[in-house]
Amino acid sequence: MKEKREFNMLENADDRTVELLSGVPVLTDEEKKRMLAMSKKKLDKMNRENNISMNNAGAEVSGVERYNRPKWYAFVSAAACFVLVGGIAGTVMLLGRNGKDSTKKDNTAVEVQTTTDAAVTTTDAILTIPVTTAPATTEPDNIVPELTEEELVAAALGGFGDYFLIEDIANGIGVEVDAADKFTDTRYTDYPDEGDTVYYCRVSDTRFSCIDDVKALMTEYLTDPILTDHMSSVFDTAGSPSVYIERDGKLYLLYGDTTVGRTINISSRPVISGYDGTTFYADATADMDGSMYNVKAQFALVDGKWKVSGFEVGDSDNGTDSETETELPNADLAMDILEDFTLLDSLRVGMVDINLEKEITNTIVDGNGYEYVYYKVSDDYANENFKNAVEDIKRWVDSVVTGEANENLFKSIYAKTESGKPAMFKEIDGELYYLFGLREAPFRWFGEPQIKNVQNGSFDIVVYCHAAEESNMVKDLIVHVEKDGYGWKISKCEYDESSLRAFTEDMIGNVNSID
Amino acid sequence: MTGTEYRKLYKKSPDNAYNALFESYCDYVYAIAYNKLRSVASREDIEECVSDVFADVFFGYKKENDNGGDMKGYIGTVAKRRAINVFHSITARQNRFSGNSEEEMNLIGDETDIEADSDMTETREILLSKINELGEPDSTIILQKYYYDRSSGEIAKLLSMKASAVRMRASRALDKLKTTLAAAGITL
Repeated sequence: MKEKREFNMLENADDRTVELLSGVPVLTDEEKKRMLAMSKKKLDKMNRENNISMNNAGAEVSGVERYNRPKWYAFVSAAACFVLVGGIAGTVMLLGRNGKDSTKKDNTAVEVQTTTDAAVTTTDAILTIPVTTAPATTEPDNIVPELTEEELVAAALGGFGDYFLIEDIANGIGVEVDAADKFTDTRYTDYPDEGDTVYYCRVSDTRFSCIDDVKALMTEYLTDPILTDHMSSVFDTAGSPSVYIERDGKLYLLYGDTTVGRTINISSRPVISGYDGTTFYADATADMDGSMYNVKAQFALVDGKWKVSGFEVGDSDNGTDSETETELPNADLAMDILEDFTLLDSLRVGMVDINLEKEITNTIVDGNGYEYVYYKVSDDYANENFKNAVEDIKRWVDSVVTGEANENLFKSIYAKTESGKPAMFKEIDGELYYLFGLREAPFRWFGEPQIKNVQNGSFDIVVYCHAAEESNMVKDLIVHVEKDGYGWKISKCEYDESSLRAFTEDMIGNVNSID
Repeated sequence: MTGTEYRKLYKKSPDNAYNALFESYCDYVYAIAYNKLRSVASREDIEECVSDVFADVFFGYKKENDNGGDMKGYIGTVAKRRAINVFHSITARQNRFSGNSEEEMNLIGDETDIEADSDMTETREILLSKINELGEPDSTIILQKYYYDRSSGEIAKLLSMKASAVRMRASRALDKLKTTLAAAGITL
C-alpha cells in the first residue's frame, strides 16, 4: 500500500504524462465492452432528452413525460391481442348450451355493480353472467400488492384470454375428439329441438382424460361466483345434456353435426376500475368473429393469481346504431388520440429501450452501403409477453392509424417501407429487436389541441409545433382523424406551412399532462 | 483517428463509427479519468466517467468539431472536464470539503496549478524515466500494479503471463526502481 500511495505523485499530471500513462495497456476486453455499451446507452438517453427539450422549447407543455415512461406499456393492450381459434364443436351443442344458459341466467343474474367507474357502457347485455362485488375467495394472509395500472391492464388481458379459453373448453371448442368412438344419449332425443339427436364423442385431447381434468383447468382460471356457474352449466345440468360426461372410465364430449370455430380478439386497451387490492374490473372491446362487443370482467386475487370472478358481454359496437354510439369529437378524445400519436411517433423515430450490451446480431446494409444495426429490445415485460411481437405491434398500429398515415408515416415501425427504409422492429430468432439510433426528428407538438373541420366521419386536431430546432417560429400540425369501424383512427399528419408565425406564451395554454 | 475518418464511418454506420472511435481513444480517456479520479473514485465510478465522456463525444462531436482534423484534442478536453466534474461530485458527496484538507483541494484538476508546480513535474518525469529504464514488461507491470492498482492476476491476463511470474517481476522491479530513484534523490 505504501508504494501505491507514493505513486500518487502521478495523479493530476500534465498532458504529456497522461499520454505516457495511456500507453500502458490496462483495460480488458470485458471492461471496454462494458464501457462502450454504457456510452451508447447514455447516448441513446441523451438523444431522447434532446428531443424532449426541443419539444419543450419555451414551454412547459403537455405530454413530455410520455417519453420517459416505458414505451411498451402504453400499447401492451393492443400488442397483447390474442387470437383464439376454436377447433371443433357441435352447433347443436352450442345452440343447446346458449339456450340453457339464457334461461338459467335470466333467473340468477346480478347486474354488475361498479363503485368507481361511471363510464361503463354495457347495457342491455345480450349475455349476462352473474357478477357481484363480493370479495373473492382469498387467503387471509395474502399481501395486497400495490399494482400499477399497467400491471392491472396486463393482468386483465391475460384474464380475458383465460376466460375465453375456458369458455371454449366449456363449449367443447378446440377439444380434440375421436369421432369414431361415439354413442347416442337416448335421454335427450328431442334436445334441443324436436327430432334432434344428442350424441357424445370420446375426448382424445391429451389435456383431458376425465371430468376432474376439465374442472381443474376451470378452477385454475376462474373463481366464484362465475366458477360455480360454469361448473353447473357444464357438468351438473338438469333437464339438458351435460357437455362432458364419463362413461366406462372414458371422457366424452357432447357433439353435433357441424364443426364451428371462433376467433376472439381483445381490440382495445382495457379500462381498469374499482381496484381495491384484491378485486378490480376491466372493460374492453372484443372482436368476436368480426363483430365488436363491449366486454367487462371482474377479477379477484386468489392465492396470488388473478382469476376471473365475473364476466359480461354487452352491446355490439356494430350494427345500425353504431353511428350514433361512436364518441363525438371532444377534447378528451383529442388528447387520447394525441397520446397514441405521440407514442407512435416515438416508435417511429427510435425511442425504445434496447439492450446495448448484447452483441449485435443483425445488420442490414442497404443499396448505398449504409448499415442498419438492430439491438435486442431490453424491456423484459415486452419480451415475455409478446412472442409474436412484430405482428402484435402491427396490430396495434393498425388499430390506431389508417390510410396515408399508416402507409407513409408509421408503417416503418413494423415493416420496410416502399422507399426502402427498414422497419424499426425486427424479430430475430423469436426475439424482438429495434433499430439503433434516432432515425428522424419527431413531431414537436405542444399546446392545447383544437378540434377543427368536423365532418360526418372525420375531424382534425390542430396543435402547435416548433418550426425547427431552437426556433422561435411556430406552425400548426394537423392530425386528421377518420372514423374507422367502431372508432377513430389517425389518417394523415401534416404541417400547415401557411400558419408559420412567432411563438407566444399564450400558445402554451392550460394543458394537463396526458399521463 | 481524424474527424474526417470518423464522419466517413458515421455516414455509413453510426454504430461502427462509435465502435471505432471508442477503440481508438478508450485507453487515452481512461488514463485521463483515472489520473484525475484515482484517489477518490472506485473503479466503477471511473468506468462510468469514461462512458460519460464517450457519450458526450458521440452526441456532440458533429456539431462542435467539424474541422476534420485529429480528434484527440477535443476528446481530451471533454474527458478532462468530465473527470473534474466527477471529482467535484464525488468529493462533495463524501463531504471531503468539510475539513481543511488542502491536499484534497489541490487534487482538483486545474491545469494551471499543476503546471505551475514545476518541482512535482520534474519528480514525475524522473519517476517515469526510471520506470521506463526498467524495460518491458517490468515497466508496464510496475505501472499496472502500483499506479493502476491492478491485481497480479489481472496483469497476468493482460500480458499473457502467469500471475506468479507477475508477482515476482513486480517485486524485483520495484526494488530496482527504489534503488535508482534513491540515487536520483527520490524516495518511494
